Amino acid sequence: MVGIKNDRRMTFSEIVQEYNSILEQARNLDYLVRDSDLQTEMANKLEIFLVMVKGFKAQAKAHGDEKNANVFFHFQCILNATICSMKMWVALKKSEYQQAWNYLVEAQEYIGYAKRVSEDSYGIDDFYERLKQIESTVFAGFPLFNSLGILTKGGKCSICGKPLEACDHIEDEIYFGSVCRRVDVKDIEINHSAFVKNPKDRRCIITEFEFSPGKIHDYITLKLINEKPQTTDEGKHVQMVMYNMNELDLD
Amino acid sequence: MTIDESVIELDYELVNQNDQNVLILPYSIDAEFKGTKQIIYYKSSVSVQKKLAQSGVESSFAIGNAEDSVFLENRSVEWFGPTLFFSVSLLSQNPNVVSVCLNVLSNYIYEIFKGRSEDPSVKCSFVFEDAKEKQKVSYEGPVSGLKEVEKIYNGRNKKRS
Repeated sequence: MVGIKNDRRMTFSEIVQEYNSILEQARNLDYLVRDSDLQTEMANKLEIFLVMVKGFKAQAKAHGDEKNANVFFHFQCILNATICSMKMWVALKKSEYQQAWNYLVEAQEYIGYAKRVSEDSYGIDDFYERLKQIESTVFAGFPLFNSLGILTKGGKCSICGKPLEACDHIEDEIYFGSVCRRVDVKDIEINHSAFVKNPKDRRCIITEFEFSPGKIHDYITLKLINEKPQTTDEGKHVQMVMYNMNELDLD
Repeated sequence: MTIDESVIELDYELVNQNDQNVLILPYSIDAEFKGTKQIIYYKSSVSVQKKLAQSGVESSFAIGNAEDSVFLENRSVEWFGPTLFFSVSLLSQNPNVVSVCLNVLSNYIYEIFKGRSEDPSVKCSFVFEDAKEKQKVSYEGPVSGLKEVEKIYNGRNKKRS
């Protein structure tokens, strides 16, 4: 298996070597106390390498090489997880806590997808455990999340473009390094919303909560952000994320 | 883990499309079969149909067809599966069909949750028909416990034989 980078042919082992090298550099910056500019620079560098890896994946797919396309998908997910981790630290230092939480969840999700291809890749479990520890020590946790019930009709298979009901691809399975999803759904309706402990998307959090009558607090920082006159005693003010439109990079 | 057993009534004209196939029922069979509401299937129904076909088990949507159906996605980490209906005729001709379906479902759920959960939570139901009645078994719990449904089905058969 070879890939082509800037018109130069690279062997598979050269690609792996470059991948390991960039991850090693990133690991050294994957701490709260590292400089934000260096972390942003590293995230940009990883994003450039990610584009290259997706190019290699496309080449493997074009050659009908599903095994290597899936290996490159694994790299793609680990790179995305590392980018998210880097951006999480930067967001934390800018006090953008909700955004930092989103990056953390996305990093965990990417590792989950990477494990679908290869569970025993070097360091993957340590990376996941580290993110779990960050979740429990940096963030206070969320007892409940928002979970929508969504009604959909139509849509196409992201792999072959046919209606999903008319092709052989199965939703959420990986084909040539891409996750099969229902896309181009035209008909969407929200059926219900519920508070759940284990949502599909843990980015759907409560953002504001009325802890005492008339006093609205940021749910993450607990800072008082708004006071309103008490007019009635009907219910409490809660603001939450219903749906996060930022899809993971799984194509 | 909770397993509920109940005897249900279905509008047989609607269900009896092809009793040699496993039938995929809408998610709320009591309401939908009265014909007063929109027919809604769980989002997983199409994937279940394809996975069963890969294992040689033919299935079909009990009402309407997959392409024109409305699907419900519950954005919870739990896996919501459709209600699978096994006719008396299918069960007598293919006694292993329940076991095959449960295996297919378990393997599929383990696969899609790999890396996220070792023993994901699932919620799904099965209707077993015999000459007298239709027994619904509703399962809610870890995927590893799905085999209990087969025990219930086998126990029920022993009682009747």
